[in-house]
Order: sequence, then structure tokens, then C-alpha cells
Amino acid sequence: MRILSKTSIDFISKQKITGFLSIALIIAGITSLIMKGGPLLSIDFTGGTVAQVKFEEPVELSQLRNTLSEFGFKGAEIVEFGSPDEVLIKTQFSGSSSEISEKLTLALGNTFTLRRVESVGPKIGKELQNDALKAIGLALLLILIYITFRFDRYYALGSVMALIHDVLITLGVFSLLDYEINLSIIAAFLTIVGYSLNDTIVVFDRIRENIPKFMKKTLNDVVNISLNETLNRTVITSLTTMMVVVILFLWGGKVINLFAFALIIGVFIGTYSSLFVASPVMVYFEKRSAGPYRK
Amino acid sequence: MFKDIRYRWALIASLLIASAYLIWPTYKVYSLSESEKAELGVTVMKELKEGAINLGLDLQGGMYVLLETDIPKLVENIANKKTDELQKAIQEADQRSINNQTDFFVEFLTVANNRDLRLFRNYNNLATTRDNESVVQELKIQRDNAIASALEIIRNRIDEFGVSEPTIQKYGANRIIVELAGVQDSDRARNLIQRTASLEFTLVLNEQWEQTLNKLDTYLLSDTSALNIDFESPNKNEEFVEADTSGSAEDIFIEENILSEPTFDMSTPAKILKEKPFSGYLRAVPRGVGVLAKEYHIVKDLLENPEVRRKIPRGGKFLWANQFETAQDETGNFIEFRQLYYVSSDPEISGGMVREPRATMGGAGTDASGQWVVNLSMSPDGTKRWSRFTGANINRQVAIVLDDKVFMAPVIRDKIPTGQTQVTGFADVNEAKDIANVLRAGELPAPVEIIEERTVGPSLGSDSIKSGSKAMFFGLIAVMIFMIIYYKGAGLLATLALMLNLIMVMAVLAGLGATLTLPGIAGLILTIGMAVDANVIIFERIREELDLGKTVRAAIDSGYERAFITILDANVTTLIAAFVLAWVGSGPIQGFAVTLSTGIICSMFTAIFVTRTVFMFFSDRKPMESLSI
Repeated sequence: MRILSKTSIDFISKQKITGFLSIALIIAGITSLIMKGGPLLSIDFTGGTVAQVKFEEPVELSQLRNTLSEFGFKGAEIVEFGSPDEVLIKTQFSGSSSEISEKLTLALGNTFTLRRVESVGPKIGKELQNDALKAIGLALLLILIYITFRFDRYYALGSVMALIHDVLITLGVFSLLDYEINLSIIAAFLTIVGYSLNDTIVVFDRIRENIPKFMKKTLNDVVNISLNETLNRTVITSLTTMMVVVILFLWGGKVINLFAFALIIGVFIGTYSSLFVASPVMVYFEKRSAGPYRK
Repeated sequence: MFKDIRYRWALIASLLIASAYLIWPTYKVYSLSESEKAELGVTVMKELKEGAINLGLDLQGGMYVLLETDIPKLVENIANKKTDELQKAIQEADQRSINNQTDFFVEFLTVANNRDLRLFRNYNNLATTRDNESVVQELKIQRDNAIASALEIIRNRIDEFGVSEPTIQKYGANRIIVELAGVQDSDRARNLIQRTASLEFTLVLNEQWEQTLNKLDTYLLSDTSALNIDFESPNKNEEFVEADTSGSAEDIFIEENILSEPTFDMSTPAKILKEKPFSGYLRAVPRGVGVLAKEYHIVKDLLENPEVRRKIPRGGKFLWANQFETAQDETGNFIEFRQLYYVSSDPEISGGMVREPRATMGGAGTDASGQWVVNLSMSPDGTKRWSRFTGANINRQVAIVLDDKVFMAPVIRDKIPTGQTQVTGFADVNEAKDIANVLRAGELPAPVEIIEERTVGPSLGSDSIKSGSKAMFFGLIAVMIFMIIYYKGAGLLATLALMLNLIMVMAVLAGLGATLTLPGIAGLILTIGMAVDANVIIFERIREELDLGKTVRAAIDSGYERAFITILDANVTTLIAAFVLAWVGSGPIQGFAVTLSTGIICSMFTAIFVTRTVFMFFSDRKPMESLSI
């Protein structure tokens, strides 16, 4: 069985359309980020307290909001979490779980179970933020070095551009949808980086193999041939990975819902970018240089 | 050697056996029922648990607390001359270290130098030279001591929670991580951590054992209600414990218990308890009196009974040792016990009077030459009391008590008029350092605050396990079905490799003693999707080679050969991202990174080596004309 039989899609010539699409997506994301004053950070990074509360019966959020604001949860953000009888309460102050529990009992009586409380001090939040940025920066740098070493710097540029593209778009989607960035989303970002790169490398590897084979052809053609040859694999791996992340999203539980969502976006964008971003960028830089394949 | 298929099978088989061996404890721990666990006994279960994959707090419910010592406050507290300039310098250094994310001490030194402060004037109580660098250096040592002492205090108190495996570890230079599985009450945890430590030296009243025990036995014989109540409902929440112990007590009790008990850890026979309902539980142990670990809760509850407490003579109280010990009894059996002390309820010296405890080597030419000792001195007030006390109690024991637990009870050799005291009798440097840290608990109250707290309820934890394993199961099935439909025979092989991969990942995680968290499960699920990638690359390559008209054998060979480099390059880059996560990330993120990278590494073996061996197996038997791919 084959999903795609021999294809000969001219990926490189599509770069005007795809480039426009990518840039439009990135600009939309960045605009949203600027308008909202940066990404929506969770208490992991800003400090504060989040409590996950399960009620015996579905609750009316606006009513709950009113009740809670009378009892010292002023300005608390209250959102439904997965099902109508479960809510997340986020406040800026950092308090212990007992404190929260006491206050809630005062306000609501014994109609709820406190399922989870996370409280992060402002100082540690800032540190976690730094660590996260450091992790992403460090990962990108190491990958750049590895690819430069295994291929050359144009390949490295192509793949890192694709990665930045992926992370920016995912970040933009999160900002547009008003989803929070927490610690596990950072982990998802790095997984996206790893996954997207995995895809890109397989293509690059084939280009490297094909260049001596097709000495008479232009770089554009060689890249197109390679992309087509590996297309089956790209599609199938994306499919199997997509299957598991969608399952994770649907059945993995509420706590990792957003994490799975980030991966879904990431796998999609990552597959797209290894076809339409990494190689065109590599070709662009390779041609601009006085490299041996400048045609 | 891997050209020979027999070696390949041998390698695969031995790895499988090794995996099974590593997974065994995990399987045992999570499949046994509570009663079966009880039957195996504490020691066996402990060993099993050490070899098993632990569940993270997010899966089993519990509390994670990150504590930080307030370094600026500590530095201010240490100064024996507090001036406005010093306080300003400390504040500025604190601000700068927060803004620049740098070490407080680096900033403090810079600020002090910029302001032309001579720190030695504020800290002439520290044993250093006069320059700022060495004062700061010494302050750093004080910081380390304070943290070590805080760790010791928390460890000492943690068993109040009855948590079976609490984690208390130092994190960075001035932080402590406390993880309590199954605990939700953060107020109690706060109290536990932030309560001021009480350190006391108090006289051990060995000569009063007999009288006190007689009193308790008589009472319990006359009024058995205390016994009944306590046997049925042991009060596990209460923390400390008054108990009795003595050094010279062997003659008073229990000789016969030990003799009549040939087997390890046997409980006290009912016959003896009928006559001695309290003292029957006590037995002679190497340095005094102890209670079997098995019977500890019974005795503890007895001693906490208000009626029983009322019968304890005034001026005395029972205290437990800080930990359980193991020793051989006269018959050569190993028993696990906790020592019990009977001490004066009126402590002679309190923590504030102890100064500068230090673990060091005993000076040459002294009795303690070549041994580890702890030296300490006393405040002026303490010196006077200590001198009087030691003079009056030569050859008696004095208990060193932290938060109502006895850490050791050295014998007073001589009158100590100057406060300069040397404690000897440590087996090694660690014991000496531990005691020095205990003694410091009184001296340096290091202000500790909670800067991060995460509590997960048990219901959420079990929900997470359920949904996590459901997602994993469905993911596995979906990928398997897809692979078999798409690649037929070869796809079946790939699914085999996938299952092998999961087994090996579990084995590696168990071998590493890793903790499985919810993000860790997500990493495993992601691994399922990504692990087949290697097979997809290989199979697609083989199809291409077949399309070029190569024979089956040649197509397989060149398919694997060409695909290998691709797979390697592609996986190394994912691994780089995973390693960075494991390195920089904290807690749950690390769990994710560890499972993901283990999955990738194992998949290289299963997807390439194992599948190829199977291909070799079939093509060696008879030349294949077609391939089910």
C-alpha cells in the first residue's frame, strides 16, 4: 500500500506562495503578541497561585466569580477546566494550599474538592523564565553547531530558520487563542524543535546524497527530487506522530491537554516547514554564496 | 561479529533478559496487594522499591515544596556589629543579585568594596583575616553550615508526617527541596519547616528507670483501658514521643525476652506483657534501652496516653532517639530498634547558649588524636551553667536533644569550666558533621521561606494515571494497526520492534531509578509515534531500492545501510533538544526529557538492529523472491 506513488512536486517554485503564507502567519502571531504585551505566561513564570477545584455539580462561572470576589479572591481569574464541574482559579498572590482551601471553604462550603494547588513565588518565576529561555537558546545553538559540523552552514541556517519559524508560529497560535505558556509548553516547544529538525535532516540527508548523483542538474532540481523521494516518509511519520499526539490530546487528561495541543500544532507546522521552509532557505543561502552548486 | 546471526540473536536475548530483570521489581511493587506487601516485610519491599520506577507526585498525589534560606537576613544576623552602612550594603547587594540574577555574595563583596566598607569590623566574630574577600568567604561557609543545619532539622522532623519515602535534598547553594508523597496539608508542612528548632542538653536519668517503669507497669495492670484504646487506634498523627531508655538498665529487664526469642524481630511474648505491660516491650540494646521497630508504635502510643503521662514522675520524661538502628542481640540475631531515653524534663542548656560547633580531627597528643570530634564553646551565661552542671554530674550521661529527639548521649568525663567542650565517640566524619549541624540548630536560626509549592490531590493523580495509560494504549494500538496495514509483514516486524522498545525503555527507567511523571508518560507516548520513524525511513528506502530493480536481499542490505546515517543524524538532533531539557529543565520537564531520550536511544536499537536480524533470519533460510512490505 502506498499513500503517494512517485511524485514530482516542484516544492521550490512554490516558495512565493508558501513564503507569503509563513510570513503572514508569523506577522499575525507577532501582532497578537505585541498587542497583548508578550505571551500569556502562566504562574510558573509570573509567580502566583493556581488552584484546580472540582465541584459536586456543574457551577455557574459568573456566580462563582461573584462569590469568590467577596471572599478575598478579588481579581482572581476563574475558568472552566475540561468539564463544567471543574474550574481553575488563578490569583496573583502566592499562598499555601491550606490557605486557599480555608478561604474556599469559607466562600463555598463543603461542595468541592481541591485537586491541585500550585504556588510559585515571584523570584522563582523569574528564574524559571530565564531557564526556559536559556534552554531554548542553548538547544538551538547546539543544533546549529551539529548541523554545521555534519553538513555545512547553509544547511544549518536553513534548518534553524525552519525551527524559529515553527516556534514563532506555535507561539503566535497560543497568543491568538489566549492560551497560557507554562513549563510543560516550553518542553513541548523543544520537542517541536527536535521533531521538526528530525524531518528536515532526513530531507537534507537525501539532498547531500543526491548532489553527486545529479551533477548535471540545478540545485533547485536536486532539492525537488530529494523532497519528492522522501515525501512518503515525511507524510507517514507525520501521520503516526500525529496519531499519537491527537490521542494524547483527546484522552491524555486535562493536565496535559495544552501540552498535547502544542504538539499537534508543532507536528503540523514542523512537517510543513521541512518541506517549504528549510530547503528553500538553504537553497537561497547556498546560491548567494560562491558555493560549488551555484546555478 | 554481528554478521553472524547467532551473535545477533544472543545479544537480543540477553538484552531482553536484562530488561526483564530490571522491570521485575517495578512489576512486583505495582501488582502486589497490600496484604502481600505486608507479608514480604519492610526490608524486602524497600529493596523492591529501590529497583522500581517511582511515581512522581503528580501521579500519586503529594506535596512539593521548594525552600530558600534568606541569605541577606542570615548575613545580617551573623554580624556581631550591625551598622546602618552594613544594612544598606546588604540591601543593595540583595537588590543587585535579584536584578542581575547573580550570586548574592559576589554582589555583596562588590558593594562592600565600592562603599569602602571594612567588613571585618562588623564580623570580628568570624575567624578570618581582615580583608573583605576572606570575610565573604567565611560568610559563605556560614551559609553552607546554616543550610546543612536546616536540612538536619527538617530531616529530623519529617517522620512526624509518617511519609514512607520523603525526599529532602539540597538544591543549589541555598535551597532545599522537600517532597512528601501523600501529604496535602501544607500548613503542617509549613509548620514543620518553619518552626523554630529547639536544641537542649539535658541529664539522662538512668538511675530512675526502675522506679518509673514499676510505676507504669503497676498503673497499666490496674487500669487496662489505656492498653486497649491504644492498641486499637494507634494515633499516627501525634508527633513526639516520650519514652524511656537507660544505659545501665540491662539488669532491670528483659534478659529473658531475648533469650526466649530465637528468631529475628520476634514480638514480645504475651506472657511477659501480662506481668509487665509496659517494661515488657523494652529490651537491652548496645548503648541502653530500646524498643523493637515492630513494637515502636505500641510503645509510642502508650507513652502519649494522657493517663500514662500523668504517671511519669515529675522531673523526668521519655524521649526517643532520632532514628532506628540495627544491632545484633546476644543470640546473634539482628534486631531493628529505636532507643528510648529517660531524661530530666528540666534541660540544663538551651540552644542559644551553644557557640561555634565544629567537626574536626582530635588534636595530636590528646585522647581523641586521630578521631573525629566535635568542638563547641558556650555563651558566658551557658559557660557558668555548663561548668556547674558538668562538675556535679561527672560520669553521667547528658542527652543532646533536638526537637525532642535524642541524637546522642555522651558521658561527662570532667568538669568543663571554660565552656570549651569536646564531644568524642564518632565512627566517622559524617557522624561528627551531623552532630555539629544539629548543634548549630540552636546557634544560627537560618530564616527559611517557602518559595514554591505544588500540591496534587490523590484523586487527580489517579485520574492522570488512568488517562495517561489510556492514551498510551490507544496510541500504541493505532500506530500498530497503521503500520501493519501500510507495510504488511514488515509493518508487523516494526510493531514487534516497537513493543520491544517500550519494554527496554521501562527497563532503562527502572535501572536509572527514574521517577515517572505525567510529562514522562507524554514522552513515552510521543516515543511510540517517533520510534516507528526509523522503520519508516528504512522501509521506504527498501521500497525505493526494490523499485530500482534490485533483488530482495540487495534491497534490504542497501536500504538499511543508507537509512542508518539518516536515522543517526535525525535522532542526534532530537537528542540534543532532549538533553538540554534534561539539563536545564526542572522536575516534570526532566521526566519528560528522560523518557523521550531513552525512547529515542532504544528505538535505534530495536528499529534497526532487531528488525534487520529478523530480515536476515528469513533471507538466510532461502533466497526471498518477494518481500511483504
